[in-house]
Amino acid sequence: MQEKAEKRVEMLKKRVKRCVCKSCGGKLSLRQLDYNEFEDARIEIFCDNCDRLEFGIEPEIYTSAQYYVDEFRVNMYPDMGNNQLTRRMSIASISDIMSWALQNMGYLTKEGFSVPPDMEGKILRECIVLDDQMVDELEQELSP
Amino acid sequence: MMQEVYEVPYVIEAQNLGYQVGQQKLLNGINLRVKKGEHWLIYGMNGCGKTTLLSILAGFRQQTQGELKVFGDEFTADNVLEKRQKIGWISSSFFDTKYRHERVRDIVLSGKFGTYGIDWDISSKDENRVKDLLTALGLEDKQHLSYDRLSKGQRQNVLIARAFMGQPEILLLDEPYSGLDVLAKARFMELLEKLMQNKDLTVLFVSHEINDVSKAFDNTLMLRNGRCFAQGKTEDLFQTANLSAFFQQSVEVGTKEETLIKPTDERKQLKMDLFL
Repeated sequence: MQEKAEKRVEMLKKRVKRCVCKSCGGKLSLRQLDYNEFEDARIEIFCDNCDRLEFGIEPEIYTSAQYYVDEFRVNMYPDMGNNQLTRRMSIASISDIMSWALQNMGYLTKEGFSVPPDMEGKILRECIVLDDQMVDELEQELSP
Repeated sequence: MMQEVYEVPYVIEAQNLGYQVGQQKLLNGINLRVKKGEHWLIYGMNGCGKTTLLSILAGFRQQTQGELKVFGDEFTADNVLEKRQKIGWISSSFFDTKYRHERVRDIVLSGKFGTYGIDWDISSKDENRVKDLLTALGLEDKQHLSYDRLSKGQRQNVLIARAFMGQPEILLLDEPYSGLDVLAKARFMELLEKLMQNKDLTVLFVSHEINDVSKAFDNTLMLRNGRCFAQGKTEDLFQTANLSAFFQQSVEVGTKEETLIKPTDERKQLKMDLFL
């Protein structure tokens, strides 16, 4: 009966070991928010540095996003000025975008990076890979 | 030919419910049976245990005494999040102690999972629902801000959006007008009125404001010092004699003048279909 709950808590424990905060890149920890009997209902991932609940992101994605924001001077929140807060918010946003892209290409799953890519039901699967013969046929079709 | 009689199921059944912290009994001996589609008012003064009761009914705290069934059975490790997903709970007095630096988007999304934080499965549909709800509540540009950067009214609206992230079958409203400005309150009242026309939606509305008492609430539970003072039809309980006994002083029940301001500009009204 408790299988589902244990699975979620196990997933959170693995994320804490594997992932970092997507705003500051800091270490994550598990925190009990309530005195609830059920682990599932009370345990969440927390970033001690940002002092908030944080689901986390793979460190490779965070590092790439940080590099992109710093090197290309990206500010996703120009209305809020150019400061440490907007830098962190921008890194978090870019991390979200990269994470979404990797998930939808099948390279990122709940368990982390996946090689070979898990394309089942993903956008990449909808792409058509054309071989030489198909290109030739298309060219013939399109030629006047 | 026998006519089949449809029995409306109880969605909340609490028996001798109690909650104790150390030696302090915050709730004691509460009996409450709520049928699907009923509208209840839980009325009481500050500190009488209203929020504690709702937090137990919502599955965020566990009773230390008595029995509770929600949607027909008790909360278990396996069903607690599933049940929470079907309960829309708006309570700034509870969530303000949990959320501080969390992003608005994450708080709203957590309503889908019944958790405090977010989980893995977030679709574009979910992201768009967050945007639509926040836009409807005037917070379209706040989704990446942290909770503590918002005003009290804006935080209340974030919790309203969180409650409607799923498709709630029970709405638990803990002083939902708290912090809302006059127009936001009017819009939310209008929304609530429409929501309460849905026969499948059960509403429990907590208030200490006598002005919030409305005929729309069929039943009332009056709480005093963590105990049930009275329970029954709203119109029967809000009578001079009963209220005088409740307040332990002589009071008079007046008539309420209609002074509510309603926005007539259609562009600024809530998009009802997002919530219904």
